[in-house]
Amino acid sequence: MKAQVLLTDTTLRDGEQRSGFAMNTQSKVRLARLLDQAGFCQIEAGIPAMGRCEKDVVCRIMDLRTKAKIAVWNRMRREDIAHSLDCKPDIIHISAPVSDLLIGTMLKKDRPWVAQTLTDCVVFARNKGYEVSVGFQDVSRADAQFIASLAGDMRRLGVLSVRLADTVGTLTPMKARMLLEYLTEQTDIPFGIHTHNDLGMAVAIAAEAVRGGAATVDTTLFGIGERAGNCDSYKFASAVRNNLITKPAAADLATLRADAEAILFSTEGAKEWHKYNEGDNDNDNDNEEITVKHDALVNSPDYAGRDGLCTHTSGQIAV
Amino acid sequence: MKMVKKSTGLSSSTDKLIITDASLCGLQLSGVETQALRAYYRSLLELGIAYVQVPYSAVTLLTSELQPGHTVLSVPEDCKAIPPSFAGYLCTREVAAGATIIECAWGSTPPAFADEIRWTADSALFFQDYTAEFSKMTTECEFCPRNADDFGTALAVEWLLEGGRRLTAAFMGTGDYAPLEEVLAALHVYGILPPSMRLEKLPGVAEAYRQLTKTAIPEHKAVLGSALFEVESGVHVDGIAKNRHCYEPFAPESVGAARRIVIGKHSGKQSLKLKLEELGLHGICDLDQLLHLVREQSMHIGGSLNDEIFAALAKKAAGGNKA
Repeated sequence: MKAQVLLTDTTLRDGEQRSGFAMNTQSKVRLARLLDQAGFCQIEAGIPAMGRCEKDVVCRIMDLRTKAKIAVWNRMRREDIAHSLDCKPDIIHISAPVSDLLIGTMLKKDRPWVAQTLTDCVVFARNKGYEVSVGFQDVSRADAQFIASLAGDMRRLGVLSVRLADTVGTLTPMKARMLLEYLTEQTDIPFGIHTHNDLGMAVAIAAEAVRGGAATVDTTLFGIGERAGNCDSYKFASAVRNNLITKPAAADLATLRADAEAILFSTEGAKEWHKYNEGDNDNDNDNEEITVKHDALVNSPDYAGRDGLCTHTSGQIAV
Repeated sequence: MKMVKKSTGLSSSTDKLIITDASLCGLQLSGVETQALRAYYRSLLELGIAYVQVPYSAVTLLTSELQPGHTVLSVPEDCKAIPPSFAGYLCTREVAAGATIIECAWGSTPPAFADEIRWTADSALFFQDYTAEFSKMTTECEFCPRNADDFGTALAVEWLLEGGRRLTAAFMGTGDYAPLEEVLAALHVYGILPPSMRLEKLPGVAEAYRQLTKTAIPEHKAVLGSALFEVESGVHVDGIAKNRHCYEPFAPESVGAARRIVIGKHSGKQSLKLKLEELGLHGICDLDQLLHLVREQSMHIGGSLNDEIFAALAKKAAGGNKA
């Protein structure tokens, strides 16, 4: 009997980080709706700490989704998580670097600091009544024992799952399988895999991670993402079709791609939105509000002076 | 499965990998520009691979460019006049002119007359215990994984990491072989790329390929894409500025590319600061205000901003400051 693997989608978060990509609110909400209809169990909708635009997106997606759980991405910062709470998502996802390279270079901290800070953030979100998932960045260059130790901590804190990110796409398929086999032996928390396609192996690494015990595979539409992109949901489902049952299935993803292509690869996203909403009676007022804001913004000859839609952050972290 | 390795005409050094590119056999060459064909063939050899596999029809087109000692000739079944001196002859029957290479599906029994066996495999092998399968072969066997379902690179890389030393791949995965450029980049990342390989020549191969096939290489194609090293997100710019290893699997220069900071929706203040310096506009405006404008404009146009637009926004923000 074929095993089942759940696909999660991060087109709206990591996918959008492809250089040169900038989806507007309408496009993101429209895509989220399609992803929901396609049967993804989880959609990573964005990063609320980016500002009001992103929060608007997440809130709209929360309103419109029917089945998928909506996750939002956070750095290990309480202030980021506080932004997420404003959106009342289903899942608060907290991401932590786990390689010494990122911990030392980016955070200028050490492993105990990461363990403690991550714990504090998880407890903070859990105490607010939220389901929490955790992402480990740069597992391909991290110490497996440290990963296992952190994962064990997360399990004890009631974290839903741990997502392992091959941040620079340098895992090999076999190493991915061995890492997952080791980690699933050490702790029974569900693991997911998040791959990058820098060496053309995003699909293969994800497939081997599943063989090693990963329960979920994080994917994007058309494999879009930073540099060479992420694991393409359709390609993954197609590639493993004889060996695994994926949810969504490849056939559903083929339909989704056809519908999503115009939104993702066209600057006409706003027009798509208007077209889409002509026959949609749900949340009309909300839609109108967003549309009016958008039009007012882009049509304003002097929008630089406006009290704009977006607040400021100093940047974001991608995995 | 018969795992024999017979004597071969292909060189067999113990200290290097022997990689053959078969992309020319996956292209329709009738009507191609001869100069473009020659340039592409030459660029592949300049990359440092051992052999280029060419179809019989290409021999007369390559003429003086042809280096038979570095070329495997793909021989049609009905070919009568087989030219001598090639490093190997890929065919389905025994060839008197030199080493006969026979392609065999993984697990099949090769013909006794083969001097060299090229084992082919598709994605089915990936779902088996491929390391156990690899261990049945001698490392001198040649492996040629197909790229069906995107497993070609993975199989090729795992084969070489398991000690395999001979591989056939194809630039851009042409002809459904493992993409050569991905395999080479992986070897570079894993520290087993032979020093004779010159990955910085990849853009030249890509350009020659584009000229030959009249096909653009996708800008986010792994290893080759022109936009791979465009860095936009705030933390990536920041991280790479601190240590490029943080968010780059390999240095852009190692594959003949260059990093470029792109300004867009995901930019952070560090990116803006660097770009302002690059444009000679350092300190002209408040970064928070500029970041605000950049995000709005990026979403408006649905993409990143070119330098001209960015400079205009900076000046606009500067004007706002003065007001």
